[in-house]
Amino acid sequence: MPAEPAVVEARGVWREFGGVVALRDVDLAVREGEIVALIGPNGAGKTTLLNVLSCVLPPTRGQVLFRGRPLPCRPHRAARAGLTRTFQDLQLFGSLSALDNVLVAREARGKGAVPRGDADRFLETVGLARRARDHPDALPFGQRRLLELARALATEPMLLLLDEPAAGLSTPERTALAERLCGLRDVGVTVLLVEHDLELALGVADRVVVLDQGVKIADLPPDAVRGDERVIAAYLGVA
Amino acid sequence: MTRGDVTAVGVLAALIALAPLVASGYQLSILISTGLYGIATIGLVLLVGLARQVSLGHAAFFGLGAYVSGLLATRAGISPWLTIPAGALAAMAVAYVVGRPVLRLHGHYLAMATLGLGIVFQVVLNEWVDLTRGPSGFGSIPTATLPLPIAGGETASLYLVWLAALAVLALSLWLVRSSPGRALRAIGDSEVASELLGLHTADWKLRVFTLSGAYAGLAGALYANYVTFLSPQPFGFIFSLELLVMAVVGGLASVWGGMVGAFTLVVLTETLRRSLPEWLPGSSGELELVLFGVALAAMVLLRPTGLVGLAAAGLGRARSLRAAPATAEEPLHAG
Repeated sequence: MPAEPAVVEARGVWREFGGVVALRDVDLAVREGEIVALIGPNGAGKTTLLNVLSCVLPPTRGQVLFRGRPLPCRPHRAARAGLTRTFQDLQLFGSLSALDNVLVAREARGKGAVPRGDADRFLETVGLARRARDHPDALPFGQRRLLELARALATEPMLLLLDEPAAGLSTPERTALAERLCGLRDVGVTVLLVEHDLELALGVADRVVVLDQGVKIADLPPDAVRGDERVIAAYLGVA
Repeated sequence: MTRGDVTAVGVLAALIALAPLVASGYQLSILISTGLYGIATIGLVLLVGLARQVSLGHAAFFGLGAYVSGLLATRAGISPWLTIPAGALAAMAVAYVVGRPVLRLHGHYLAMATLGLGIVFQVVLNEWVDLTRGPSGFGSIPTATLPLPIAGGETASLYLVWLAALAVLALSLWLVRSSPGRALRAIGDSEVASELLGLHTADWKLRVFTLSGAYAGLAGALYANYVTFLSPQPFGFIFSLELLVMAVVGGLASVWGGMVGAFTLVVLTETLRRSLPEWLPGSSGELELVLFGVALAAMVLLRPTGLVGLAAAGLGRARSLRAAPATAEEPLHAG
């Protein structure tokens, strides 16, 4: 029997900015229900890879497949096909309340207005139900990250790309985030996670991909990461 | 629409209905101009305030609505009740044709395209003499009359213009609080995040630009119906700039800003026109333009939320003071 196609797959992806090569011949496949952590030092190309996988940037060379087919060329088409993401630099809708941020995500999926209660539950999921009426700039930074996560979840994605979702979160919030990510796997959502918090990344991931200077240097189970010499040399360093 | 909006629209409608009883002909003409420019400015508030797209050629849509309506009424003898919506539809169609290719691009290309449209429109009006009578223009445009026992053309025009203005106001107030309004705000705040939620941002921007063009066309058609004479001169770049100033001064964050800005600028223009020659003998209309520019710059720098934002902040402060009265130990204002 042929193997199930990966939810998202990068084949020989290059991305160049002028003379700078940000991604160099990267292959990556994320299968359904997996949580894959993408780690590496600053400037390794993690966010660039997320941008290419979410159609924000086209690859200079190579191909991205979504469920075995070429990724639609426009982000909104990719989103409608079941892909969504969060951003390292938050991209919340500042003129909308927290509830409306989520509501607009629900409405973007369908063709019209949806009941407010339908959006409430996504705020509850991240513990922001009490801040529904507040605008993003009235929320602490950590809660803004959670709001962006709630907004992404509101699209009920098949593939969720998360760019440093734990940055700015308190320790209890990080623990809760880890639980929510594991919960996503249980309901079949596939996650590709860029994260500097190694504890969190290794705790939730099924697999860890390591990038260094635009090159994939490792693809390992989480328990093998700390002992891998290439990862130690490029990212972890010697304690 | 909120309950407050419904009340405010109702109060405004009542004031307009009663205005002919107390206002002079000159004051009625100010209200008519406010209604006309308010319709076009609300369209700009939706376009600039929600979708963050700038049009520098809205005078062309206004003029197109006026000319299509005026020409159909005078040349083809069609009833003004049909030519007015025809003017709005013509402007809407042109906005769609111009916006469709341009709004697929990222950046301020719409501003450049509409600036070009405005110039082309002026050239066409001036050069296509057989159709438009060129710079000398044409008059005797038949007017629509309301089936009401109203004495006086000014009152009839006031009611007709404000019937449309209140409809545009109510529609726009509903729009900003509805699902399309949320989508447009989201796109204005972050295009990339909106796309990645599944919103086709180019389509949404095209929709609001087309609607905005239709509003300007409707205002222009009503203008033709009111003044009954058309020439190319009023529909130039300066008028596009004035409409933008109205939107910014009133406040881009609220549909009410369109009406407030139109009223403020109409009153300011009239005051300047009357008083400038007394204050500064020998001054010309160009000084008026300089003052518009200063008003625009001052508003952007000092109060970017416009007059409506200023009023809302004042109301909010008054409410919070009422909710928590200051004590002798706690001064009302810090700093």
